[in-house]
Amino acid sequence: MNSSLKTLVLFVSLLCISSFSQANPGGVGPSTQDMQCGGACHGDADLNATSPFTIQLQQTSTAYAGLPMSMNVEVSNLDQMQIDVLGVFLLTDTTGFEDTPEDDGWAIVSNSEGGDENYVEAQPTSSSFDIAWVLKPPSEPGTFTFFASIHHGSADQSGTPYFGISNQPLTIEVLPVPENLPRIDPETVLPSQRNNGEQSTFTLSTLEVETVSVEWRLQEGEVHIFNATNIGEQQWEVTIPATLTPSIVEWRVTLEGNDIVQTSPWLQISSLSDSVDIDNSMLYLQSFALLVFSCGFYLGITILLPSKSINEDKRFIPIDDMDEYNGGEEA
Amino acid sequence: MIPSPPTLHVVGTEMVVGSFALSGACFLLALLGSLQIWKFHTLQKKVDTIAHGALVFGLLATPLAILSGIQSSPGDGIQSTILATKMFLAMSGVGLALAVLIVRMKQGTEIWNQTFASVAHAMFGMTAVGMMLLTASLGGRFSRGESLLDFAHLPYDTLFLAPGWFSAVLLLIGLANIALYIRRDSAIEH
Repeated sequence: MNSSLKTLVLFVSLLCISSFSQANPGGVGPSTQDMQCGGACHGDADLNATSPFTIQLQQTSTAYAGLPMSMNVEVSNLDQMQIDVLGVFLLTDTTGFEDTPEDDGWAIVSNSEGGDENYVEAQPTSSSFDIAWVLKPPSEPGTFTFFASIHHGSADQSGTPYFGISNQPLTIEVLPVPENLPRIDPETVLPSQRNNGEQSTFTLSTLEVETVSVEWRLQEGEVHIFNATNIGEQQWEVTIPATLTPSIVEWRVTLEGNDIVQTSPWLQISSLSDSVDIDNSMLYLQSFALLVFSCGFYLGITILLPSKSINEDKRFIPIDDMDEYNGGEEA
Repeated sequence: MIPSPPTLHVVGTEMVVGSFALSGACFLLALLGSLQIWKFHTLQKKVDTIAHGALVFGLLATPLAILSGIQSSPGDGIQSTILATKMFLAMSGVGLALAVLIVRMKQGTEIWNQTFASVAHAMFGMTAVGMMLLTASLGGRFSRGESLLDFAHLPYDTLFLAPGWFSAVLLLIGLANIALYIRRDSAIEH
């Protein structure tokens, strides 16, 4: 290997290594994660530091078996340290393995960051930060515990991973559903994602309900109310208007029936990104194939070109001497 | 202190875009010169050198831009049609740029003395540059929601993710062409 090739390989290697030398300082994005992920770097006692932030977990609506309920995670004292990205986990235990809400039979309907994962990332701008999760409890009543944990770095790029977890678990009592309670049919699939510019029209199936009114708002924005259209026995058509820019629309329904009024938690529909499920191995294979194909395409075309000058004369011809080469013609 | 991937990505893309843009401009000038549309014989050698030199520098910076881009993309891996399209365009651009450099290395400046070869060389050089600049423009669309190419109403949410066999066929065709080129080149030298 000649020296210029060695230099080239060394240069490219250094460029490649540089971006892999830290764990994930820019975060890993919202995803379903157990605490093992949070613990991999941030939970290693030899590497990490304890986060100075305070974490509080709060149940914000009554939990009935199979019906949507909400809980809130508040991370405060954020002015104690300057950070870029804050990662927040919602967990059902702290074993680090199979500790997501799904592992305990819960389903995440949505969260206030616009996804339906138990791990979200945010870039807080004030001294406290709230994330709301809407979950569907298991269909059987029982008692469940929840934890919230956080991880983050520091804006000074010291490289230290920080880890924090709620001091006290939140205990949630999932109650049996009263027979006459007006409610959303537990089998109803509630939308949480859509594309920009698309309105969301879906059928809401209910039980024991006589009227349905719908409220929607942009996050922290003005609330708009309308009555859902009855399209059949306990079937209601709900339309959430489109947004023209990536944003999160929150909506909830107030159900009336049997002289009982029941309000659902705020649910989120996001149109934040064009995120789709892409098989990355196929993507990389196709990318490499395109590289080789593109390279071969031009090389293949040069084979078809007239090769007179290549066959007869491969000497380097200085272009600034082209006047002589072309018989002395001048512009 | 090592910069975070997003910062490295900005640095990498600026190096790539700057180098490729310079290269593209020089390919255009070289083409105009070789076709005698714009006669500047004394500069033509310099334009040729700058076009290919800038292409080499852009290619050296491309791994940094691509790898830091993957690292700084939200989520696990690439989960966006725009980012996937960026990947395809960048890799196609790299392939074409490599071919342009190989051809220039083998044929020397004489490539500008043949009309068809010079047109093809400049066009492929500028296509490689165009692909890289389009990749950068898509990055603007992804991160800021707008780009200079918005007037073209490009289908940002459309992605042609081919099945594995199709990629394998592309790969084989590309390898076959490269092999034929190497074989012909070695035959000429003998």
